[in-house]
This record gives sequence, C-alpha cells and structure tokens, in this order.
Amino acid sequence: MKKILVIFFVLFSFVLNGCFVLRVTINNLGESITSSPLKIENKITNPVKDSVKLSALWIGHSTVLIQIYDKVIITDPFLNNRINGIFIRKKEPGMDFENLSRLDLVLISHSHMDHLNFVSLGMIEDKFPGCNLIFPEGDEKYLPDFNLNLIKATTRKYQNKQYTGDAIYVDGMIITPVYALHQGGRYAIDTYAWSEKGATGYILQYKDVCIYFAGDTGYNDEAFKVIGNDFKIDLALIPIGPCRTCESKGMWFHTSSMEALQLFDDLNASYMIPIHYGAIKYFTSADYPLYALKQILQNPESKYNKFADKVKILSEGEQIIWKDKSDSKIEDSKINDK
Amino acid sequence: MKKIVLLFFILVLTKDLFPQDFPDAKPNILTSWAVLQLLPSPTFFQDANNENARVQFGFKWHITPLSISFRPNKYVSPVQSFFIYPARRFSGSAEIFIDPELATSSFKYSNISIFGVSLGSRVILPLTGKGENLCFSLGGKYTLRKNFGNDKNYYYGAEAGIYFFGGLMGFQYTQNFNTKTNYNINLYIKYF
Repeated sequence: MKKILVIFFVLFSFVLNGCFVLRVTINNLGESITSSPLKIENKITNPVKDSVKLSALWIGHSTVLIQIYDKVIITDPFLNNRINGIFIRKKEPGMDFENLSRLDLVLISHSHMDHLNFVSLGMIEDKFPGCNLIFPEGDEKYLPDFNLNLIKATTRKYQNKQYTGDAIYVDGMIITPVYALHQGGRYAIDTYAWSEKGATGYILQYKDVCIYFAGDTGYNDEAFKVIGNDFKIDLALIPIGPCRTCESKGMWFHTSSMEALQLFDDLNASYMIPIHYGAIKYFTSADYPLYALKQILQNPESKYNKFADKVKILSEGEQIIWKDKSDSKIEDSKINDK
Repeated sequence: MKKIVLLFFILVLTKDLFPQDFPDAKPNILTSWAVLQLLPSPTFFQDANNENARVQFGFKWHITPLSISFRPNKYVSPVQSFFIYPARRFSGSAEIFIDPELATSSFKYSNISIFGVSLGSRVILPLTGKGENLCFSLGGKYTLRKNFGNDKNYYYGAEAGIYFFGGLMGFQYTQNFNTKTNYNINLYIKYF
C-alpha cells in the first residue's frame, strides 16, 4: 500500500513540477475563492458606433471589440468573471455584454482556457445565433457544438515562418490565418506534453482597413517581418506577457513587453494596442507587463521609445475611435469615449 | 526492477513536458495517455454483513471503450473509443465503461474479493459552461466480484456522478443492489 502511494505521489510530483499551468493555478486559486474582480466604472453603453472607420474597445485580457465601418468583430471573447468556472479574473470585463447591439464575427486564436471560453460563447450564441466563429485547425477537438457558424481555418503549417494561410471570406471581410508561435491543447498535459496543434494569428481586412490579431505568440525574428511585408497593417493587437522579465526576453511561447515592441517594429504597423495582461496573475502582478512596457517606451535610451505615440495603451473598457476620413490613412481622433 | 519501471514511467510522463523551443516532433501521445490511465481514482467501498459494517478504502480505474456525443461540432465524429476528448463527453454524451476496482485490504465482514470489475453505461449531461464547468451523469452497471470461497457474487448498481474541470475530475456515488457492499463513493480522475 505504501509503495503504491509513493509511486502515485512521485508520478504526480514529476508531472506537476515546474509546470506553468500549476504555477498559475497556485497563484490564482486562493484569490478565486476569497476575492471578486475589481469593478470597472463608467463602462461604455453604446460600443457600436455610427460613422466609424475603425474602433477598438479593450474588454480585457485578449478580448477586443473591433468595429470596422459596419462590421463588428470580437477577439477571444472572455466576457464572464471566471475561467473554467474556477479562476477569477482580477478586473471585471470592460463591457456589459447586454450593451452589444451587433456582432458579425468571433475570432478564436487557440483553445487555451483564457482564450476559448465556453460560457462567453454561450452568451454569444444566445444573443447572436448563427454568428460566424473562426477557429484554427486542431481546436475542433476542443469545441462543443454551438449555435454559431463554426469555420475552421486551415493552419496546418502555422509554424512555418513564411506561412500565410488560406484566406476566409465572411460577409465581405477577409480573414487570413498567419504565423503564431504557440500551442493548442487545453488541459495542461495535452498542451505541454502532447504539443497539440491549434494556434494562429489573424489578419482581418475589410474595405481599406487591415487589422492584425496576434492571439498568443512567442517572438521570432523572421516570421513577423514576413507578415509586415505581406500586409499593410493599420492596427496590431499584440500580447505583452506573461513574462518573468518583461523588460527583456520572454518565454518561447509568449512575447515579453520588449519582444512585443520588437514584433510591432517587424510588422511596420501604424498602431499597436497591447493585450493579454491585467486579468490573470501569472507570476507577480497581473499588470507587471504593462509597467514594463511603459518603462521601455519612456526610456530615452531605449530604441523603442519612438513608438510612444503609436502604442495606444487602453484601460479595461476604454475605446479608441478612428473616424472616417477622406484620406485612406487612419487617424485617431478620440481615445476615451467615457 | 521496480525502480526501473518507476523511472520509465517518470521519463514517459515528463518527456517534452517543458521544451525550451517549439518541439518539432510530437511525443508519443498514446504511450503517455496509457500511463495516465493508470492513475487511480480513490474509492470508499462499504464492507458489511448482517451484524457489522465499515468503510473500506481502495482504488478504481476508468476505461471507456465507447463514447457517443450528443453535441459534436460538424468537424468531428460523435463516436470516440478509449481516448476521449473531454469536450465531446461533458457537453452531452452516452458511454459504455469498464471500471476495475481494487480494495486495499480484505473485506472482512462481507467476505468478498478485493478485486472486481464493473461494466455499465452512463449518460453525461452539461450543467454550466457547456458542461466543462459542471456536468453530471446517471448510469447503471453490473459488477463482477467473487466471494472468498471463489463462488460468484455478481450484482447490479445505479450510479450518479458530478464532474468539474472539463469532466476530468468529479465525484461518483454508486448504490449497489447487494447487501455485502451496499454503496461506494469515489473521486473520479480520468485524463482523456
């Protein structure tokens, strides 16, 4: 009996030892029981606007509500307070879902729990039945059926640094899967031991606007230059962290704050909105990647300080709007709609 | 020999667990999955006769030869065998299961064997988060277990379960139609 228990314990110890998921679990479990998310005051009640060329409302984490003219798109919707019914987010979603009047497309970057949230997709299928949802190949194994138009993006070669996937045409929008250095899977071992595939970035084009949504990705010094050469990107949504040392190199599957700026530089995009921080405590503070990003941008000796005006840091619930101008170049006219 | 077997399990389980670069080759999923199936579910069995009763500790393992999902998406098959992706299970499914059971010491009151096998079927239905956050099951089973005298002591049972964390963990209660071991309760652990 003792021997069985010892073997059982040793196996568990080795499986869990050093595991990123376990650390996040330990970091968040206690607070998930005892605390509630920080309230977001003065949420925008009319997130979908008239006469807008482009707008982006950061709901929190990787969830951004994008409006391009008459089309409304949401990325990796995480609209409730808990991941998997257990882990609580640090700040509540920056938009009340009942205020959303229109939705044309849902983009899912991969199947990890903070990006593919079944409660949120349930909310969307109830309010917008039949709405288009695009997900990367591999994630179909992790998706239950929803009353949504599920569209699988072919991303078989998404780890190829020259990769640009087959474009998907939805309601006049063109969605192109692009390189992402990340994993699929959902339940820890399938992600880290089985290396399940199923992660992607997206290029979203509609009329004269081009958006890049990175999903989750690590940095590669070749792949993002390819994307930048192939597409003239107006707005890039790029994750910062999680990272232990956000001022320098990050993990292979997550860009640090510094690497996110280098990625933005490689893309040669007009504007960047940092995402994927603030909702979950990975290592220290949930907002540490943001502090690091601000430090880098404000450092007069940093080669990235030239991006200070191009990086639009939004707080949860904040919306940036570019009005329709006669010239084709987008121009931000309003940062906060509160 | 035992140390070698233990080392083998450890190596298989931790292979490529924390790669520094994106792994080019997929690890042997089926091997590591098979090893993970050896993780037992802690179980409490009732051990009783006409005069005495106690609770006996043991383990249970879960094998699913067939699972049929009620709500698969259009890209996947509703039918799975042995290797079960959780989403198709917890979002609504019916499955046939084989659960080997092992008590850690003898059933001194009921005089039944410490080893048994339950065969049965259950229906799993979602409660919240499409079933990933919380789902439940109802089922029936037939347990094959011998008495100490080697004669058969086979019995039916009804089972109910509640599961969380993608249906990978949960609690199950079985009401057996057998006076020697009237019920058992187990923590359910099964990875895919």
